[in-house]
Amino acid sequence: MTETLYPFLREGETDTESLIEQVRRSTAAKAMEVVELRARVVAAEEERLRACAAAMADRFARGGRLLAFGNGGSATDAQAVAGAFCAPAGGARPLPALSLTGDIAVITALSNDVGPDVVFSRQVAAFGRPCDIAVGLSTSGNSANLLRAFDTAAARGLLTVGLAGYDGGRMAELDSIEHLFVVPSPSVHRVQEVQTTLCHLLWELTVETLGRDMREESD
Amino acid sequence: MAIALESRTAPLRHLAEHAGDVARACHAMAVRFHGGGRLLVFGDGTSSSDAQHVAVEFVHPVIVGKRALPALALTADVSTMTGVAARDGFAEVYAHQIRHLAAPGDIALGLAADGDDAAVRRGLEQARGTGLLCVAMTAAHGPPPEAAHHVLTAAATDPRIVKEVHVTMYHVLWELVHVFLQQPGTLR
Repeated sequence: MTETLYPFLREGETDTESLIEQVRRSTAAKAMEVVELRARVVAAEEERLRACAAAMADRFARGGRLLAFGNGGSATDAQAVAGAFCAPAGGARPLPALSLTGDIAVITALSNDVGPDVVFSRQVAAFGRPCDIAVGLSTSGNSANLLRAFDTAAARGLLTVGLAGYDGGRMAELDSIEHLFVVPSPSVHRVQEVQTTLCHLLWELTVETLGRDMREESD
Repeated sequence: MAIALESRTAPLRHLAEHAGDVARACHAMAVRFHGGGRLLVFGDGTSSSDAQHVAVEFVHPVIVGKRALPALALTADVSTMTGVAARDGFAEVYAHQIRHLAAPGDIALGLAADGDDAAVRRGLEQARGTGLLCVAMTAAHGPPPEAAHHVLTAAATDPRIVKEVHVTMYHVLWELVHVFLQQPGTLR
């Protein structure tokens, strides 16, 4: 990576201050790359984000819960999605959300006894009800355990929401993902950064829709 | 009405303008890793999942061929966390682990998307006292943690937008640490 991103660097030739200056510039460029990528994705996906949030609000209004899952860094992002909905900052109404990556006993039991491919699908089968929402996060879009979880979720009537990177990978080929958002970047890091914003926008739009529906009901 | 992104753009512009602070923090972290130090990461709420995200970035890099670096999230051991919280109060959960797990050559990274955070502040204080390099990722509101050698501020007050900036910050952090490590001449 250093060779491709920083072709001017060769071992032993660089003093500390000039290297700091070079990485300062590359960091500033990356920050602006996020701004550009995010604006492009949100502009392209705006209507679909609103439709997805409306469907999520409908599920929550019917007593549904959100189940989030992913691998590696996306596992922690799934936990952050659960936290953003269930314990929102700023006094918003908490919505029931659960990460399927948080219980190490369940994860290791399923991995050890059956295999890593079932760690989310088995939990979706155990927890998922038709009014619930399944949110799966991946950068490659190819994780076998996510593909299985989406199939299980769709078969049980859950609303399915997927976030992927690159070209969407195998997640883009599934019929079981109703709302798929693809961040078209070759960088895992930029993909995850824009996915974080998309999750927050889905939360904002869902809460907005629920608030509007409640006001209309009380009118 | 179109989704407005202005409130999310300004903090990234601010990050671009302060990229030198990120570069200097990464250089200092690379010096510690080069000397055998480990990274201990912590934060509350959605920053706790960021702490675990940082740890996995370093331990299992997404770029094939990058060496694994020792990093540990202090938010993952629920037994220790709840034990300390129940006995000594939640503010001590990270300080306690740093007291018993950290060595003076290590690095502490505290994330506080909510601005001021008592447990993160206490963790950094304990880390500073133990001799660790202390790095903090904070928000525009709340006092900057005095114990931190390097404070990286996300110029926003909405914790969700702060978190989004933190994600970019720690991705860059991982990448730049490796850039410096591949130039050992800069680590003396």
